[in-house]
Amino acid sequence: MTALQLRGIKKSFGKTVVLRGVDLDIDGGEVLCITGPSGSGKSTLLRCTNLLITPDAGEIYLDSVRVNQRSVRPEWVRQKIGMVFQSFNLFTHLSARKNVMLALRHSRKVSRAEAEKKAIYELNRVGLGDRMDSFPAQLSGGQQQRVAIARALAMDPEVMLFDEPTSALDAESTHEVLAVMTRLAREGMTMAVVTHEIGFARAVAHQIAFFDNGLIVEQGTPADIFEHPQLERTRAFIQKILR
Amino acid sequence: MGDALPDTDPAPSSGGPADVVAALAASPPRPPRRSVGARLRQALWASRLSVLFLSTGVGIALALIVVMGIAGLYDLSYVIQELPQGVAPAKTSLEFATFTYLFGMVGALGLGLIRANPPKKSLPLRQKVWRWPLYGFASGYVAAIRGTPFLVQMLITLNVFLLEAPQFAYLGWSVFYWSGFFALLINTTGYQAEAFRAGFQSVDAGQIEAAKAVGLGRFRIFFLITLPQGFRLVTLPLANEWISNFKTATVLSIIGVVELFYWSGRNVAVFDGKPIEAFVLLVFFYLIINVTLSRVVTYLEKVRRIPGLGTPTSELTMSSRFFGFGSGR
Repeated sequence: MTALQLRGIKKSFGKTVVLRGVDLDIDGGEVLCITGPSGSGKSTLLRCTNLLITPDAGEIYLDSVRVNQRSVRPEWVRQKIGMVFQSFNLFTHLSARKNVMLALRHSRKVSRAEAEKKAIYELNRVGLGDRMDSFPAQLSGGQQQRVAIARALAMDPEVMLFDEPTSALDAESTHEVLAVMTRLAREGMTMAVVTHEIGFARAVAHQIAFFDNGLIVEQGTPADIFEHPQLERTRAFIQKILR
Repeated sequence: MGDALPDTDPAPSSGGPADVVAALAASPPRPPRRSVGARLRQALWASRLSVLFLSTGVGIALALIVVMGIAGLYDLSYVIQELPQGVAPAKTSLEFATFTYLFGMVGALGLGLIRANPPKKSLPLRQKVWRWPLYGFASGYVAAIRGTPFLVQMLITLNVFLLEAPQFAYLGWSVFYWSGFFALLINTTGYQAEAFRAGFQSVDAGQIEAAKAVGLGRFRIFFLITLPQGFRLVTLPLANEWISNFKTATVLSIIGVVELFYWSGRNVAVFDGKPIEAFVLLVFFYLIINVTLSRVVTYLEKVRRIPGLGTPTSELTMSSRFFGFGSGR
């Protein structure tokens, strides 16, 4: 079943055209890794998906419901799509536990006790059961990113978007975060991951989409893309990041 | 799915419901929240006199004044005798400063929010028609308040009151008191609005985006993220503004509000013919009140501090800061 469908997504900022009509399907339980040179519009595509950026044209379907239309509130869409950012973006004035609880209590209207239970559950799930009362500034980058994942997971999203979740991390923290993401994928979470982590993409992804200049230029299984890329452009990029 | 998964797994076990129960049992009991009164009492205790006098130049200044009195430069016994008379005008000063400050904060929050979000050119017309005038009003208000002397603002307010509502007298205050009150209110609102604007604008845009991404609406984002963080960021400028407001209140003496300056100038300097004593009394009251307040604010900033947010506390001691050596803590 198709969980997320993008049809002809276009977006420009002023005169810069960032997305030139992107089509993309993600099935339920599937992991899609999006890779490609920086500035090619990968992040913009993710931001369009949960309507943080309104696309200029195109349709977005979540479980066959069109979400980018006036009768659908963006808040409703965003509760169903979890997002993890490159720079973590944890709420600095709240402890890890409260970071996770906030959205549950105030956009899902879950009671305080319920939200706390859920927060403890999710933080344990990402391996941070012992750092629940720490503030973001007291956590390492990897720990912060795991709290951010727990915060997104707490809303029981149907799709998770990861926008270069490990680009700001050192090798060890990257490993921590990728381990959590790998486990999520194994549990059957539908995920779209913008990443340059080839090892992760090879091991976990069902599909790889190679993005260039506002378009998906090549798409296929990891074996296809990494072993037998069709385009010269893809081959050159893969060569570079494999080195 | 591939099988070359990362081999170490930072998460312990599966995280089933049993884990939650265990985690709930294991998490240490949090200390009960103390009341505001209890916290304030602790803050006042922490700012006890020894700290207050020894760690600032105020102690030296007050000591100098006392020494001058003992040396016979002015009449120390008279100052001590008059001291209790100053309590009532000091109360009036405090009332004016505090109430205008608190009521002004409400308006300043709104103005600061408007000023922190200037309307974009890309807005649809139906939003432009009210966003631009609103922004223009807020900016004009702040510019007018910050660009004119308080004395002028006060006299304008007074004359408006005298012409339009000369009978405006409630709660035992005359029309002069009320116009002074409103002038001070209008003034402090403008200054606080700028402080709040700075605070709101320094809240990290990424966090606002993250709040949107978990499905929070505009109002919730403001009250749950922007406001609590912005407030912590502007604690110091806000405390500054209270002190400034308290001192600006001296100008109200001109229209006959019996606050500290009026009392010392008229009763002490004019009727008793003791100008130096009058200023000694004034300095005493202002320093005691302002220094106590800033001590309390510093203390509250320290205990209510959240790592990574707000003004960092200095690790330097007086001697290491000024002379480059001394104990580190």
